[in-house]
Amino acid sequence: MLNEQIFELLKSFEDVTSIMYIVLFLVIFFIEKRMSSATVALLVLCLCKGMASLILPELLTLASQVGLQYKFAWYGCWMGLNVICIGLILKFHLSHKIRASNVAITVSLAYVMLTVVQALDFIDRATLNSSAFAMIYQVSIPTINIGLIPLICYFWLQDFRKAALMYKEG
Amino acid sequence: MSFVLILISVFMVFLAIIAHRKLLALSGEPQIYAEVASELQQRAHDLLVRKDHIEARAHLDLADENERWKNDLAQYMEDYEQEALARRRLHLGR
Repeated sequence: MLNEQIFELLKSFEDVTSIMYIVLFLVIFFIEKRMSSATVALLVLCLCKGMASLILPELLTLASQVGLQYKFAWYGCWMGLNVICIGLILKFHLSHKIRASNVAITVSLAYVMLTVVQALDFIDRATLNSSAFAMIYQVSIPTINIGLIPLICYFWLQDFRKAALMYKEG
Repeated sequence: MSFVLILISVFMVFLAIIAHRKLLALSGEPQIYAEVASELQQRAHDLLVRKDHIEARAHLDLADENERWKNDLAQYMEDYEQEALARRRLHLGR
């Protein structure tokens, strides 16, 4: 089926996203050589991926049990992790007094979207149990994770170009 | 039971949106730009007030006063142009 093919493709791409995030973080950090808004956002992204892969096996065993509270353990953990990540980005910006760049805002917006999708799917499961959101859930989460990579590259290059022009003329 | 869980998930979504909005507020123009704009505005206002004074009283030292006013105006326009150039570089990147 076409849907399964798309899902398989997304899944295979998503396995590479963690490595891509780490590579992006290292490249940007070595070019900027300081804690800027973009590096903070990417650091939190990498941290979140690491924590996600640590708790994933435990959560899978928990979520495979029957009962709404086990389902909530799955969705609630991801939502909590996303909220913690946005909070971390905000905290870093506040404590280092840095101006939020487009990269940081994109990453934070992606976390908001992930949280909203998870909340919608959980509410659907808890009330109607129509599994209408299951498909959206399965497709949108890898899409957001993969889509972040080109967006981060684009916004960072845009900021980098601006900064280079400022140094050149100013 | 399920009501509480749904409430918690909605609460988490709100928490995420609030944090995101706070981050958005951090992305605006830096404070220094707002202050510079405010100062330029104040100086333009003062210049206009002085022009009004000069025009109102047709006195003897008019030429001298007018000359100084013109110099101040030129200085102001120079500063304004520099500021506009800096802003264009920062926000438009050219």
